[in-house]
Amino acid sequence: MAQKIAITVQRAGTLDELMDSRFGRAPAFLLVEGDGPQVTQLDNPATTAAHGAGTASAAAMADHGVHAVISGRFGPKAFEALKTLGVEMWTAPSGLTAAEALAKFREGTLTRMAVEEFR
Amino acid sequence: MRIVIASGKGGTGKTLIATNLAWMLAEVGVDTTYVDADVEAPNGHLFLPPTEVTTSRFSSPLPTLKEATCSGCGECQRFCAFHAIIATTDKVLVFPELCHACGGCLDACPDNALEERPRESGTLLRGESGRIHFRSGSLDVGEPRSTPIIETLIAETPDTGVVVVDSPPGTSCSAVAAMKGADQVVLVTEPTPFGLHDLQLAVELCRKMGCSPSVIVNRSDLGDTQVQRYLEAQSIPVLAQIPFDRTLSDIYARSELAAPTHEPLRQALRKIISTVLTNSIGGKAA
Repeated sequence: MAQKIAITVQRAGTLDELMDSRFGRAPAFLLVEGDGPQVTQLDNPATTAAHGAGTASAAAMADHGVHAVISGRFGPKAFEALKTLGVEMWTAPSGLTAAEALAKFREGTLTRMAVEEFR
Repeated sequence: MRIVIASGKGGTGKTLIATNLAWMLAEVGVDTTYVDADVEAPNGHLFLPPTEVTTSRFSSPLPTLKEATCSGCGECQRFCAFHAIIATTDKVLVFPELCHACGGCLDACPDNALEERPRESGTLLRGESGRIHFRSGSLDVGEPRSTPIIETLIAETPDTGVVVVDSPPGTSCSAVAAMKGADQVVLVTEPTPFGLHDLQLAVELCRKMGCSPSVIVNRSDLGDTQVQRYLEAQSIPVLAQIPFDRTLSDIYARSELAAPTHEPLRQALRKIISTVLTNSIGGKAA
């Protein structure tokens, strides 16, 4: 089965939308399967949550069978949750569109978050 | 009778009023308990130093995975409205800072794989300060959830006499926990735009909780007239106006009670006591 990639975006739309640099509180996710052009939009209900946005978003990733997430930053609780759920975290510089971030991911030029860099 | 001294804005004079009010009540022979519910920054003890102190550690239940009975179905994760629990086939991750200790995940688990274990998050203190029964709680550093310890603090106060609760500032969960079940909520404010803004939030909160607050305007001769106009428009009773007085600030800054020596404050407190004790202004906070 093709691997599913999620990219945090500032609003639901096409891959031309700007990536959102926050994982837990991004307004939406774009889901892409393997190399395919098909894009699924996923609104993030946790974007305005008072607490627990990171873990809620992490759970949503697992529910949708996401293999790897591309975002700008992952909070400490999101990091723990995604790590536990076995979802890879990749960080891309801000200012990129979702398509650009995805291209860099496919080229292998993004950084994978494997240690708690924020601590 | 439980009187909660609250405010929207911090630094308006909650502790000044609460500690001196407790002292005045005890002075006139009322069985008085002072409760410092500002568990993130308790300082009532500076004004009412307690003796015969006993402390106990406070803990709340935290769901924990029992050994090897979890099937990884994820029902606990789906149930939790606070997203405090993450489940996979071989692991359950609980975020204590998000968990509200409702026990729902235990009920949701079809495998009976979770149990609750106590997790410490603060300290409760009891003592006597002269004739005043003194109670306070303090949240451990780094603990984000103050409501459980405040709820316990309030639940453990005696039903006898008058209980004066020094509430945390703001209008979030911690202030709600301090106000819940109060017979009277007294909001301390100041006549500034900040005071007004946060007072409005606090009044709204009280009304949502089904009680009509009364107000003390501290430093009443400073700032502007907006608070006054708001209170009039809303028909909110003003228990006292306390003008700014450098002497009062000096006494407070030395962490001393002002009521024993400061006649204007004493008068204001007398008026507050007679109004609050004789007059049931507000309904009980739900």
